[in-house]
Amino acid sequence: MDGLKLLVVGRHGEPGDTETSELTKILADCDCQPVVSSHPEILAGLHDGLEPDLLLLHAELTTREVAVLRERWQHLRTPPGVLIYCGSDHLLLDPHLEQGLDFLLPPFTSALVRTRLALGNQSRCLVRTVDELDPSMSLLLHDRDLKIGRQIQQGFLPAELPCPQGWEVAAGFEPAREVSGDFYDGFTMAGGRRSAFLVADVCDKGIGAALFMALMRTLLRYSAQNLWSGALAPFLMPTDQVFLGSPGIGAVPLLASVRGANQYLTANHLQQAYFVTLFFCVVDPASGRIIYINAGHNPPVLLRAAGGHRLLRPTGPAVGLWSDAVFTIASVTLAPADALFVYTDGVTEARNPAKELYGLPRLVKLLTSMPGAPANLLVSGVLEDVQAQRGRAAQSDDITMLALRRCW
Amino acid sequence: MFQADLTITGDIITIQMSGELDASSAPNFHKILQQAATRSPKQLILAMSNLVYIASAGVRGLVFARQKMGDDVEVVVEGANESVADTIRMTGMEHAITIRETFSA
Repeated sequence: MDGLKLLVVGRHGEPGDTETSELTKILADCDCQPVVSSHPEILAGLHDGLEPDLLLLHAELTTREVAVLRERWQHLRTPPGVLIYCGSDHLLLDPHLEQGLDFLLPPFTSALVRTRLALGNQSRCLVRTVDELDPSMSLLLHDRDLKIGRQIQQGFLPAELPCPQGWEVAAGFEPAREVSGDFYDGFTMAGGRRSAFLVADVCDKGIGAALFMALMRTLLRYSAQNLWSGALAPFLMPTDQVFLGSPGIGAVPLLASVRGANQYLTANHLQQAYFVTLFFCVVDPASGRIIYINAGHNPPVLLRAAGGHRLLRPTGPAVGLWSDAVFTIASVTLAPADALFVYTDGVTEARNPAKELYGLPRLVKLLTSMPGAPANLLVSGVLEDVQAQRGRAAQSDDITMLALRRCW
Repeated sequence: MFQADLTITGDIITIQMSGELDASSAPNFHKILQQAATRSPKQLILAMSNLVYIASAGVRGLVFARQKMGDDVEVVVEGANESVADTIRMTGMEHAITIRETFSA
């Protein structure tokens, strides 16, 4: 007990009340040096210079008075612990026990008092330790959330992409520290006659966006792969939808899956206000024809091997905004050695330390300087250029890229 | 640094926005929108002339605004710079909100 600084506050108006006298006598026997005071003296600031380890307060003080006394030393790095003591009337303890305070009961024997003081001091130190741990616990939880979100996201990226004969397909995914809702996907449909590719971006960041990403990926892939047979087509195709050119194979599942996902999100998740921008295309490997829906997504760049480019701008709003949204299917044909570069805003909105955006013009300039380049070089070239522009600035968003190139 | 200040003139609520509206500042924007929604205005003006950048998380705020305000409230985006306006337009939000190039006053 050596060295414990104790402040004892007795009953109102009775500085020498029996319990307090008995207690201070024993405290002296325990080699403690108690300072005995009263409620008014403390409020007058008489002991402000004292940094007590424990406050021993008579149970006759009200809970409000106890709170005011404790508040006086809350600024200390380790505020004092509190023990409430009483005489024979144990009922006085009840309101203090309800406040979660510790107690000291007579008879005040040396062994009992020593033990109670030691425990009181330990609890006080533990409270400090927990308080100090709290911020690091929050950080740990944040890190855990990041990890979970990232696992959800990466678990839904395809292990491999289909690569139709005569085509090259390459994808790049560079995660930012904070998880977002980017994803890409690729699968065959229409009995293997078509390959579908998809790049999407769920707005916002965090686990919510990652969960929406998982939901969207599942909805789109399932509908695209299972609703192509045509039996359901008449029911899935709305009368007010528009095709640019003849739709061809794959148009029904393409449209049905985007519309289905939109209907699902607007019917079930409108309140969360999440939306998804996506570029979803179906490739006819033999003819080079690609049909697509661009739902509010950054325009992919079509690179002509002969020189020149074209931006495939949105053909409908982002998915999840309106139940009556109209998505239009557009089409484009890739000649041999032409390529299509699809990306998310992590590319064009990457920023350098001066906060300047990478931007679409720089992306287009870079891509058009590589006419006829293989798909994997388009992906790695853009990633390198974005990283070079970013310099030492942190990567704030996921970078997702997909390149398709028709070889012959 | 994002900042949003709300002023009320009769039935019109104006939110002056400045800085960058991204995932980290979007929660502040959502709070201001909640405040605006409780006032049941006839028109909500989002004054964006000092808004430098809007990320998709910020566009999500506009979706929130559209939902919270109810169908009869006109939501106006005013004075947005080209890149901010492009980001909003690209998602298709211009069908549900009015985008004005310059201030009406």
